[in-house]
Amino acid sequence: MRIPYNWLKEYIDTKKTPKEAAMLLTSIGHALDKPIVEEHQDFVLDLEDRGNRSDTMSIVGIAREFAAATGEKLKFPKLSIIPTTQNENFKIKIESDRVLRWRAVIYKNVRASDSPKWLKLRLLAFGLEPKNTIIDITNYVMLELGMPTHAFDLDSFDEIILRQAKKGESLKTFDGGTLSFDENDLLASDSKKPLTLTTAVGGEESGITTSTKNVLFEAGLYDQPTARRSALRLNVRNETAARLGKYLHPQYCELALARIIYLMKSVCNLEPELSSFDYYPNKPEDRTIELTKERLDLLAGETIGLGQAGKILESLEFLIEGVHNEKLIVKVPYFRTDVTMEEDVIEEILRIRGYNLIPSDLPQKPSPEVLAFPIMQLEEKLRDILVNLGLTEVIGLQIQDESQLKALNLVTSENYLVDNKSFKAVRLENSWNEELNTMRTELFTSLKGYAQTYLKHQATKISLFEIGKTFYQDPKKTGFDKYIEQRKAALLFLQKNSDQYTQFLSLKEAVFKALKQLGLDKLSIINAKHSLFKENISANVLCGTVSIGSIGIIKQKICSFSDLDGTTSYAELDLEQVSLLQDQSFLPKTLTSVKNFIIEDITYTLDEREEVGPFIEKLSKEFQDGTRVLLKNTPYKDATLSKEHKKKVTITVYKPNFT
Amino acid sequence: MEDIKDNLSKILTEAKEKLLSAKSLKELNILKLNFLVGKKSHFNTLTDVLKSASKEHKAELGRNINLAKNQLEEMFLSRTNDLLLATDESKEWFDLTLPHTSPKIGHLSPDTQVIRKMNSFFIRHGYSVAEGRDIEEDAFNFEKTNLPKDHPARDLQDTIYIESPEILLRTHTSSVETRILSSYKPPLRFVVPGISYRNELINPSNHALFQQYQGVLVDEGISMANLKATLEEFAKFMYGKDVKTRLRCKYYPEVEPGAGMDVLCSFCKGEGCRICKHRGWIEILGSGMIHRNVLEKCGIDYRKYSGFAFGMGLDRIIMTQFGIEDIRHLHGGNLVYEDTL
Repeated sequence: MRIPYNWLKEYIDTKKTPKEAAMLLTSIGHALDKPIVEEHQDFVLDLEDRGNRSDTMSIVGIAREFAAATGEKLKFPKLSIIPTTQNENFKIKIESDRVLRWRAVIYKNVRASDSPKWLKLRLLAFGLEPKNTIIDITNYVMLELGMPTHAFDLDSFDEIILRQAKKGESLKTFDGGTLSFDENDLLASDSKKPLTLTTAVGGEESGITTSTKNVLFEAGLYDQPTARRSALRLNVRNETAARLGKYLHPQYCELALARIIYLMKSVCNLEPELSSFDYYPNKPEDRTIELTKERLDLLAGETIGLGQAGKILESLEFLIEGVHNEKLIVKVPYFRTDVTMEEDVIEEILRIRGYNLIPSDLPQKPSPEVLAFPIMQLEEKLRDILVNLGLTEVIGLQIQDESQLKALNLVTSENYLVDNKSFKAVRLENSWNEELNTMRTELFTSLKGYAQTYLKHQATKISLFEIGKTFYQDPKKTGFDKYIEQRKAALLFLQKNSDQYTQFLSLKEAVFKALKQLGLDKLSIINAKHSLFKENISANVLCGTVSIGSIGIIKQKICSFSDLDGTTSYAELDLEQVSLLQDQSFLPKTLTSVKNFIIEDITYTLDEREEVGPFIEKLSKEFQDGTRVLLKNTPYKDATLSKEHKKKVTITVYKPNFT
Repeated sequence: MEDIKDNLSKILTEAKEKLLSAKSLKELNILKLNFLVGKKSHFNTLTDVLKSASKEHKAELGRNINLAKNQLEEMFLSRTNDLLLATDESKEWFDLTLPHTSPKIGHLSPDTQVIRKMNSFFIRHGYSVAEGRDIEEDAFNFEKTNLPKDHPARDLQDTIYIESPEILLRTHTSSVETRILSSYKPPLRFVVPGISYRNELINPSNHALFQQYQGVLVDEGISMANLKATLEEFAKFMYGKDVKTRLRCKYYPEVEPGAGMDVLCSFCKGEGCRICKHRGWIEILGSGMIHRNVLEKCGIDYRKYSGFAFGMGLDRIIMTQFGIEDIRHLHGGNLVYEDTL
């Protein structure tokens, strides 16, 4: 809210400079948002809007706060008496229960001319363009009191009906735009056509022009959510919509009209017709709140006397209706629609007294029991392990481009996961970017982006990892339960001119080392198809018999599509599974006495496609006396062996020497 | 069979003699080739003999050969050590500046580094590090955080929906606060780092996905004074012990009373400059006493327990610490550590 400081000073006597005033207002909850500027013979303090306060979207509202903080007295603007309510004299029908109050008066034989200089300067200092006396007075009152009002050209319609719009109705607004309504919008119309979107903007036809002779001024309040939603949907963002979207007390209708009548007299020397209109079906009840000393002292963290509390509240126009031993009965002023409970009252006391006076006192109680989130501990440990293995952590976006997932053949055209057709990708209903519309189903898409960047930096050997979530939905379920989040760790190795087996084995080594350090045992690899991987280098990582992730070499097609120029190996681990299988008490075995071994190399001839891993495992099971069995060197084939589809494997056997 | 055994002992005796007479490592290497590792070495020849041996003798022979081979290897090792000891070390030369060829070092992401720094402070003060879901229900993201359906503040949090109006991407980590307050009994102290989502246009200083950090403490007798001291200590930890802070009244729906914390702008010392947008102070976090409605909706008796909560965006802090100018580089795939290249 822009506050022209000289305007503010009409309502309070203060010698404070604009900067001092801004500091004071900031300290009580109205923070200066932008630098103070000098404009139109005034200094403008641009203050943050407080989401819960309707009363401080006005110069008088801020002046009232200023007065409370400095002990000054607020000089409320002068008001005139509104003519007696005689609704029968008006052709006005209210047909919607979303109208909370509608108050109107009529002026005849007006001349909408140029406003006086002082009025124009005030509006200009705020940032509104002066139009003519009638419109300028309504705008002035809106800025001064915070209550939007509207002036109709009385001769432009036959009656006023306040009603919800019919779908498809439209209105040409005073500023040249066209709005198209639905049933949720609230209109003022006549018997034929809409006149205004009454919660936000006036129409061109019923607006005030220099030829206007007779005017109806109205001050109306409506259901706030209706006002906000209309403004949002129709993209009407103006001072009226901003104010009517908040909970203003219906009393403001009275004040605004009384102020308009005063200004019409002083600026145009005109009096209203002798009757007024007032639709006011439900007057809100006055609100009283009990403030206990116990609660005040507890939240403040110190003892504040009820006497001092009462004085602060009175400075904010709260009424102390009763004082009991340890509590105050406080009546909330009508304009403070935000104050509904004891804590709200306590905030008032603390902020006007000054948050700087709140003592500093660290919580003294012993720390409570630690909340266990084992997966977070696992992730932290894994991060350290992977960094120590030379990998660098990256964090990518959780939201991905659906078309890219389809192009990579990770999801089907119906959004099912190619690797698990019982799950679908999670699509967003709305997004800031049309392309980014799907929650990621794997971490590859974000890691590949980083790998591309490394390649642009001419890196030749890349080792990256990401720890984060992937998202799916189970179409067999409904509601919230169908959405699944999985915590994953992904590792990506890329090396230019590297052969794929070396690349695979070095990633496998990193994965196994990391898992072992996390306390997982009995790790192995089993061939399994994955849509990311080349068919013959694609596997699951097993811990015992449980699959805990996948590993393989990225398909050439995907690499080319993703501009990954190099052999790329990739592994993704399901951290929830890892966490379940993790032996938290795992400690590496220690030896304190030296064992003697008889070391022997044995060469075996195997079928060329026989897997060496299971072969060694089987071999070590055959020895049961603590014998270590290790692969001596990579399998060997010469021309003869190749012809026979055989290979040779040399194993070193360390047999304990018990003699 | 016996021939081979004889042969083995002959080889060992011969080797012993020759080893003792070897005067240099070079000589030793030649001997090693002849006896042990060369294609035509004595032992390779023996292995060929083994191939033609009968099945019944094969196992015993193999063992004998291996035993002899092990003995010989030990003899070589011991002679090598003797020769090395006799070498004049002052004449040795190594190029110690030769660069190592092992893989580059790895780093944690900037996010993790900043989150860990903050966690370390709060863990020291007895807080647990907690986590929660990204896909959330309206109930935990809005209703229980004191943002009922028609609350004006909902308009400020432009929400990304999965299935409107009930299932969405969390707009703040307060959803984790309400999850935990709803399922654990006080006293509670925890922090929650995590990505939050808003349907906002992105530009160099604003992103739809952002790192948030939330802290919560609920216990008997918790006050604004406890909140103030905690935040002041935290600010000193993050910005140095001389940092100047101020707490001022600010509105957040999930707390009452609410407070924003500012630190004095270190560039202009409060005079106002471009960095602090001419305010003199830089807002670092929002906080306050947890709203009675939040405690009640999470099943906590607000008469017995009170608590405070605070929350902050981490992106700005991460960007400042790592010299990143555009927020889109944080998670967009563009960020590279120079020394990992």
